Amino acid sequence: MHQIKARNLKPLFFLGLRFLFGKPVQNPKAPAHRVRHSAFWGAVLGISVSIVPLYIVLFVSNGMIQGITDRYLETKTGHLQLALPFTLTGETREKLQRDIAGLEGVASASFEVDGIGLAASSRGSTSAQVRGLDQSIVADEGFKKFIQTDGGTIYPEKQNEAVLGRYLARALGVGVGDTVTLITLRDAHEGQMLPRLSIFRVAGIVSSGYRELDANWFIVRSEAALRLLNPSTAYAFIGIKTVDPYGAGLNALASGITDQLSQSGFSGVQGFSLRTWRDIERSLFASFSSTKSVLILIMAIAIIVAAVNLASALTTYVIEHRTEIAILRSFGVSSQQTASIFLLGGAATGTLGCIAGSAVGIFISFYINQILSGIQAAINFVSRLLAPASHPITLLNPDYYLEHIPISINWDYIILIVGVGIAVSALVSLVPAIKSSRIAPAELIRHEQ
Amino acid sequence: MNEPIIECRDLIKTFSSGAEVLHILDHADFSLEKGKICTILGPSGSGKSTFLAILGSLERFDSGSVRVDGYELQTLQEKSLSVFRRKVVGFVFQFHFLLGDFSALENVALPGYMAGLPRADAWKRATQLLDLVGLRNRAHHYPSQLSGGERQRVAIARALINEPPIVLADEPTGNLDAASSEELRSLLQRLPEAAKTTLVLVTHDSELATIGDTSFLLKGGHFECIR
Repeated sequence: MHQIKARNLKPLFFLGLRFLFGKPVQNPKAPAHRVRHSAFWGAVLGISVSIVPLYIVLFVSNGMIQGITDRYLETKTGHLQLALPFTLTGETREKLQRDIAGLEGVASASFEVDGIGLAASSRGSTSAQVRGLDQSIVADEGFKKFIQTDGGTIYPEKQNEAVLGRYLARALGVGVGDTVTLITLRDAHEGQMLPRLSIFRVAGIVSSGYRELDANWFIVRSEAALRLLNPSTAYAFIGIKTVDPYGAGLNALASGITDQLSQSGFSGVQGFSLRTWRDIERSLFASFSSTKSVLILIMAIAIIVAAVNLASALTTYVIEHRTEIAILRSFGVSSQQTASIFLLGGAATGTLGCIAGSAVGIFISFYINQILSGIQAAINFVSRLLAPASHPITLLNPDYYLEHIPISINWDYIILIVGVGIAVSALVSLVPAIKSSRIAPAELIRHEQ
Repeated sequence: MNEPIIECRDLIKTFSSGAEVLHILDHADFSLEKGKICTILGPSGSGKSTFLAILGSLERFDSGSVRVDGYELQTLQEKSLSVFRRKVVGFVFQFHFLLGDFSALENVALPGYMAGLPRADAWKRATQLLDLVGLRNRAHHYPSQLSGGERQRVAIARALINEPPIVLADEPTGNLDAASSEELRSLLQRLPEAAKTTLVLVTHDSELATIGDTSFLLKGGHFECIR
């Protein structure tokens, strides 16, 4: 039986490429003749164009999700969070903190107490997320990496100082050195609650680069928070940073901390609970993941449409070139080889499209921040020309997106996209390939008659 | 007498046209020795081209036996027929049937390349064959840039690339002017010796028919040896 061997693929490739794409350059020895088949260059373009947004969506959404996740982990939740009873004494808490910090795989452990309040200034009032941070946060590299300051310090030096989130400061119309009032609740007699007013001097204004996270931050020293916040609504915890928050060792470390709690005699004590960062913001990360999946699905449909376009071009080619195929059959090209010519041709079309699309997609993804800035600047320039009073627009609303998208090129995705692109192209080429293999050499005789 | 390279026995080929059945070959017998030129003549519609297509395995037959260079065509399946077409026969049609997007050189080389010759060897042999048919200087021209006679000569070179023991030519001068026909006649006459092959030639052209070592008339579904 005649089998197609690897060494016999070369002539099939040669024929497939020449049939579908024509001759790449004008023949210098026969300058009047030019062979090009624009339909297949169109199919290549279709596949390229369909792949570009897939890369952009993947890399941008990944970068965005990673950037947001990093900010949550480094500036807010920590990698692990050990909830503490509010009533725990400072001495006991500090011992526990030291014990945990000494565990292998733990980078730092900081105490924090969170609650809500109402921040007010002469300009107005708004809700505030009170964060009582331990002094040790100042030494935390992750915290420092993501916290940008618009002025002042990132941590209040004194009990009556506060560091505000950028948008809270804007809402209150205050700057560094101004005073703000924080209204919290305190217990009164017989279960009643009364407001407690505390005045703070703004020691700094900060941003994590993601407004959704830091918009209402009202950072005070942990001692102040313990004093001001109501135990029934506040939440005290030790935020634990590990050396590898994304690794498989996080759960093992959590088990180690649970053992440590047991050794310290806290096992089973009410108010203690340990959660990983994945548990703390589970719904947020699930939402990111499902949004990304939907976007990828939509982009994948675009690739299928492009592949159908390729199948259509191939089928048309086979129908229009029955005679040429019959000529091949007449000099001994088998039906299997004929099918392979179009299968390889289709796969080659997909490969060219995937390579071109990948190159453009990766390039755009890599420079997405600059490209978006350029587009934004161009739109704002035209808007100002047409309507001088118009407000400048921001393409990526910082309420929902990072102001700067961190892009990292993931080779696994590239290999997956190119592989799937080529496989889909080969798959859709099957029907025209089978069609071509059914063309009999006897068609030449009919053609002559 | 040498063993025949082509031997047909009791060959039947019919075509149905509505209720009517046309007996193109009706218990026909045919035999040809290796290295000869055989011309087949006959009126239009007598089945000359169909017979040539049967010899080249382009067309199936109803019954009988056809043995070509040791291959029993009635027993071969589709895959084996492709091997047969690749190794045993070279075809020259009335219409050149060159691939329009390929140069003369590529048209000649392709069957060799597809048959498993290394690319360089196929191109080298194609160049030699274009030399044989006097078209070396037109190797890089495309069919649309060649005259009718030149295209047929390229088709002949293509038929020879795999060194087939048999070349089947179906009215190769049918579409040519007198001068081109004469050039082609001369080329075909030299073919068996130059390419060490056997030539079966179907023609209407009485001049061309004279180049045959032997001639048959196909009439009423039977062959009659006339020379």
